Amino acid sequence: MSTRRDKPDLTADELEAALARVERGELDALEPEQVTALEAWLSADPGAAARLADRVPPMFSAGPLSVAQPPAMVWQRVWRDIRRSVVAPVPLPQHRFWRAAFAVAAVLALAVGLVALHQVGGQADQQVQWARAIEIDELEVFEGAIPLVLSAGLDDTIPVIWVLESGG
Amino acid sequence: MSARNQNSAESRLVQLAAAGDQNAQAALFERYRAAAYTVAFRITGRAEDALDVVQDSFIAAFSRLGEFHQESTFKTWLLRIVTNRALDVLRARRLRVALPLETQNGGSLPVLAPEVSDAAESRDLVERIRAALEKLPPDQRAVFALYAGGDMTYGQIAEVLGIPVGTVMSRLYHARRRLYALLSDLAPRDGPGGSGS
Repeated sequence: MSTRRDKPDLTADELEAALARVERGELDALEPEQVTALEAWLSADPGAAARLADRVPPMFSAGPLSVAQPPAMVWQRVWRDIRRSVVAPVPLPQHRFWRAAFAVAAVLALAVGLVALHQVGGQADQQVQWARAIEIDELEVFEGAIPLVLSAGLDDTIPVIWVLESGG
Repeated sequence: MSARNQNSAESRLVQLAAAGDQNAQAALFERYRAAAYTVAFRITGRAEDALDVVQDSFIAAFSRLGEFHQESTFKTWLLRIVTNRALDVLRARRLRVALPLETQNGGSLPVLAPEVSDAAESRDLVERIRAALEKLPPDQRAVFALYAGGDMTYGQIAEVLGIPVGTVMSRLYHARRRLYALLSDLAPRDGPGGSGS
C-alpha cells in the first residue's frame, strides 16, 4: 500500500506497521520518531484514527495502578455536601410555557362556561363580561404573576379576580 | 461508548437527576464516584485534593445537567469535568509559595492498592509510583490518569480530554516511557523498547 502520508520520514508501509503494533498493544515498542509520525498520520486520516479509537491501551506493568477508595463514611460526608450545594434546577422554558398556556386555557374555558350559563338562563342582562365599572384601589402581584379581572351582573356586582401564578 | 449505545435506564436516570430527583442523583454519584476519584487522585496525587475535586465536580455536574444533552455518556461528561478541575488544582498548587518537599507531601495520605496495603515494601512501591506520576507534565498525567483505570479506550480518553486519538496515543507513550525510566528497577524486562507490556 502506498497512499500519500503527511509525514514523509516514514513510508506508508512503516506507518501501517507502527499502527498495527499499537493495535496489538505494543505501544512501548515504538521509537519516539515513529510515534510522532503516527500521531500526524492519525490526525490526518480519520479512518486510521477510527482503527485505534476502540482499542484499550496496554496495561502498565511497572507497578500497581489501582487506587484504594475512601471509606463509606467519607463518601457519605461528600454526598451530604453535594446535596447541600446542588441548586434546584429551574424549570425549562418550554415547561413554563405549557403550564402558563394550560392555565390561560382553563380560565378562558371557565369564562366561556359562565357566559353560556347566563345565556341559557335567559337573562341577557347578567352576561359575564370584562370589568369596566369596577374600581380596584390596589392589586399587587409578584414575580410576574398575571392579574385578570372579570365581572358579572348588570352593575358589575360580581367581580371575579384571577391571578395566574408565575409559570402557571 | 457512544450516546446511541448508552443504556436507556441510565439515560432516564440522567433525565431524572436533571429534574432535581435526589434519588437519581444519588444513584449516579454511587455509580461514578470511584471512577471520578481514581482519575482525580491520579492527577492530583493527594487524597484530600481528589475528594475535593470529586465533590466539586458532582456539584457542577448536577447543577449543569440541563446543559448535558447526552451526546456523550454521563461518565465521559463527568470525567471531563473531573479532569479539568484536577488540572486546575495542579496549576493552583504550582502557583503557591514553594514549601519544603516533606511539608508539601505531608498533607497527603498515600492511597494504597488494597492488595498491597499491609506490606511496608508495597507501600513504598505505591508511594514511588505516586511520586513518579507527579513528575509527569499535566497533559501526560491527565491521559495517564484516565488510562490507569484500565477500562477506557483511546477514543474515550480522547473524548474526555477533547483531543485527537493520535495525541492520546502519543502522550500515553511518552508518559509510560518516562514512568518506566523513573521506575526502571521495577519495570519488567519487556518494558519500553521491549516487546510490549
